[in-house]
Amino acid sequence: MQVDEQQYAPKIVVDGYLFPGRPVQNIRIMRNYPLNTEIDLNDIFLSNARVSCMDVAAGKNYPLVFRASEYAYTSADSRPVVEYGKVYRLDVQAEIDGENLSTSCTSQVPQKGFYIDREASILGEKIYRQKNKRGEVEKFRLAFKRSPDVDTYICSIIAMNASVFTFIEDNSLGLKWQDVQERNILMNLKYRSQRMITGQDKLAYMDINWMNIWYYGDYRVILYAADENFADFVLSYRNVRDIDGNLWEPKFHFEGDGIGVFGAAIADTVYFRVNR
Amino acid sequence: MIRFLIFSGILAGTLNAAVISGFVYDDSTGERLAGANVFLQNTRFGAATNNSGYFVIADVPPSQYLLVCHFIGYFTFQKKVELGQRQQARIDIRLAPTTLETQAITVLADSAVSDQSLYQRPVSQISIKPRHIGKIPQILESDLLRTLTRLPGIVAVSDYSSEIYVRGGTPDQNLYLMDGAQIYNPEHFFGLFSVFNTDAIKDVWISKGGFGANYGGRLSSVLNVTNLDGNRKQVKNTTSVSLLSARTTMQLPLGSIGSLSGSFRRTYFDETIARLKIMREKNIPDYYFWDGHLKAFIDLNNNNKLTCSFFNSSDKLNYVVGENPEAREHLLYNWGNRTASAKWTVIPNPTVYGDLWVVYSRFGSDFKFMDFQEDNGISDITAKFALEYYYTQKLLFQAGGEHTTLTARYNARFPAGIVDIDQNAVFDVLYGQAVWQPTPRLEIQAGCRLNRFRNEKVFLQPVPRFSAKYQLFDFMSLKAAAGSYRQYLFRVPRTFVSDIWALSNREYNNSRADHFITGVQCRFAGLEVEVEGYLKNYGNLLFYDPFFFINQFPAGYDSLGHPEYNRLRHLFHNGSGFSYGGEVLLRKDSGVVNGWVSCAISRTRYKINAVNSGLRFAPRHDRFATINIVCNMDVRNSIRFFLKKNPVQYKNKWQVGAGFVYAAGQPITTTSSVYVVRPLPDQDFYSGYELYPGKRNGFRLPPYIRLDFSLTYSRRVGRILLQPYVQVYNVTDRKNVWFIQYRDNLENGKILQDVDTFSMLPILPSAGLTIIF
Repeated sequence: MQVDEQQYAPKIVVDGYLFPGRPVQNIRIMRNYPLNTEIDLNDIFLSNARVSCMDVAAGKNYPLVFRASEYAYTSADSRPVVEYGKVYRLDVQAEIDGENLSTSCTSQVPQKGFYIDREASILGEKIYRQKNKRGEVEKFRLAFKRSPDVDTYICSIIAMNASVFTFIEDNSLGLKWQDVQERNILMNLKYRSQRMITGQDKLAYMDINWMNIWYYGDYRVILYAADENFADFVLSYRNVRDIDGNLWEPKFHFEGDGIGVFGAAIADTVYFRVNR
Repeated sequence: MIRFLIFSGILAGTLNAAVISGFVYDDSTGERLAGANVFLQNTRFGAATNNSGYFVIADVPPSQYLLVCHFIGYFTFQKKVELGQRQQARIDIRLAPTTLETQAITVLADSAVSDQSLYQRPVSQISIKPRHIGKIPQILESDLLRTLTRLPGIVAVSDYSSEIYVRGGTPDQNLYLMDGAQIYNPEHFFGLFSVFNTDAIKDVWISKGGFGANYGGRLSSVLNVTNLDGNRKQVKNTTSVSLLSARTTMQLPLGSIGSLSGSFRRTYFDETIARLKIMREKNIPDYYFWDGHLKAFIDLNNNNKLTCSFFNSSDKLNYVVGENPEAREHLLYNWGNRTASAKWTVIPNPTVYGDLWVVYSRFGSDFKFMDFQEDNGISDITAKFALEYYYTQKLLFQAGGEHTTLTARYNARFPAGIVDIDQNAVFDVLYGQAVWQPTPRLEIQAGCRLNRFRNEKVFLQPVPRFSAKYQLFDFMSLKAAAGSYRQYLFRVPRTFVSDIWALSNREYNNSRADHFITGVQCRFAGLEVEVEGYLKNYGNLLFYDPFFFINQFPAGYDSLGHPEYNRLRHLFHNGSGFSYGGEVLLRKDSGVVNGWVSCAISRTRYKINAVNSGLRFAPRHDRFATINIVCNMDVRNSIRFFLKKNPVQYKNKWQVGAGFVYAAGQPITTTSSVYVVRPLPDQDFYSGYELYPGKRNGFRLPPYIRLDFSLTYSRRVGRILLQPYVQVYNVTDRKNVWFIQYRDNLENGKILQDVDTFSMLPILPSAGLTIIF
């Protein structure tokens, strides 16, 4: 069956985040492609776009320059340094397929206050699906204090020693290493995420789901207090498809011809280990 | 003065007039017959039996008459009656069926359907006899809802779902009634089958729109299923066994006072499939469903009758995920309906007929997998009444009311939070309508329904209904209907798992639809022909927002800081829409070859805020054109027919059934483009491309085409009728497309895109045996 390609419209794809205390950096500007195009991952970045970031409160605009080593746009003189609670606007102009496109997106950096409470968290080491004396499965747990204006917390879980030798064969879903290779999901099992919404001001707790653990070894866990752009992107960009195969629009926050994410977050990192 | 004289004349005539009333029964079973025509020969006096088989011929001048009763599949009844002044004659009619064997020959029964019955049928209403359903080739089991999709204006979206979309409406806009109780989720097996056991059905009709004031609460259609009351003459059993299921229906008399019927059906797909050689190594889920009904009919006396009905359906799934006994998880999913109803039929005097009901209905589902648990359901308790007052031969008043307490609950616990929602509403309805025949060839029905729905706020809405019929010739009538409809219940659609019900409240206003229908019905050359056109306008159409969870506000937090939600906001976008179309149905009810051909064209468009940039789009169920052909043939008598010989009753019979479906391609949203992006800022890898959708449903899939076939052999052995059958679904094994799949492969830093299609059901042969005694 031939799928009609006439619906294609070029878009500026943005993949960038702001973190307080750091300069505006690693803003990736890419393009989309029509269906049935062979995409070369080295050729997706737009190096000649006009990109700038504005400190909205100050009304000052900072041009960003392309750094080929990072495939990304970065502030030329490490300014501005992103501040808690401030609003920044990204403006991009680019030419794709002969069309001049432009887009903009505004993001508010979360307020100060978010951190992982190491003392109250359950980290360290555990055997895979370790059980306590009552026979209940124990879990790693992150205890955290929320940012005053952020409800969505996204947890990035990375298996740092992921390989054929560390793959957990007796996992909950009965997935075999051969399946992982055949389905080409090595990276999907190595990089996992989960989220939580909370608005309470005292400590909140996020249990690490064993479904996100596929390898023995060390894990790096980064918890993000995510702004609305970041949260909506994570929740919707892959969730564009109903079980009956039909598609719907993801929830992006761009004006003009942009898709993707320009978000802001506060991040905190911890580690734990899963033993055999 | 003239008005006074006319009124006095009418009144004097009415005062002296006689009344004939009674029930019409099937003489072989004692079942009451709805829709039979009773009339006085060579006069304009006549009536049709109502849904309970009751008729009233009012305002009859005293004289001698010949009372005649016609009904499909029965010998004509005739009786001389002599009526005196103000006489109230009670005549219960027992119609003898044409022999069962003859019915089997004709399949769709009756060669003597009167033109009157065609005229009496309400606009856009189609009745189907259970034996129609049983003869249509289906997926493994005969199925009511799938049969309905063979009718014009009713479509399905996929082979995997028995949900019906009526004239552009969505499944939650259909009112499903079984013995007066609402069925909230009429699906088994993730939607593959419906809960209606066709062996247990006595009568079923569907109104595709324009229905009167006595029905409401839904925007699109009413499906009314009446289960068997029970055989009052003898014990009767029908049992069917196939590789995948077994079902049985029993009817028996309760002495001279009534009857009892019961049915039971259970599947064993899992056991059968697990025994297939190719499936032995597979992890087959432990799944089955069962349903059953029990119904008692009791004649308290001539004028008081009691009917009690109980129904239960249940689906159970237990799927073990994983091989390690220590780490394996069970996916448990149970769902089902339960209804109970009691109906007291009372006839205080011959011109007043009343039904009083108390009804309970519940749908519930439980889901559990790992840390996720869900309890979902809706239930109601309803008290309702319906009165008919036959004021004169020309004027009938109908009135009724309903009081429903409705509870919808949704409780889910998962690692990231808790949802605990209880919705309680009260729905009160009062309606009244008059059916007036100013001339013998013209009938006007006008009514109004007053809805009062209370849930956080009160919705008080009068909605008018109107219809008219004009008998142009004996064989042809013109019909029209218009009405306004309101709906206060909405389903949050979920594919494969049961939908969640939401109620109108201060956040979600009710939806509205206006129907305008006109049509012609006629009969010639043994064919019934119906042509109808319709227009529906939708207001405040609620459209599910798949990202509703993004904008939720918790009511509080548990001790771990997990959010607790006690209401779900932003579940729906709202907007408007319209549907219009035309339908043609050619139906041949009798003869050795019978069936129907239907054609429909339609167009449905929605305009929903925040969807498709606010631009108009076709919903997924929009089908521009559909053609259905259903054909049944008695093989040996067909040969005789072509040899110009009269059909005869064979002891052993071969019956062939065939069905053909053509439906124009469904709209679907395809990708407009693809892009790559990191999943999270620190996860610097690209596992593939992401899909960016194009215009909502801007692409049309190829047409859906399917041919089905069945062969049934009937042999009578003593009192037992044996019917082994084979049927083949999708004979040509056509790969009808359900949706488009996108696969991606990452090789050497390049993403290779692969576009494929996901097909609907392939060729599916099945076999079984039906035993009737």
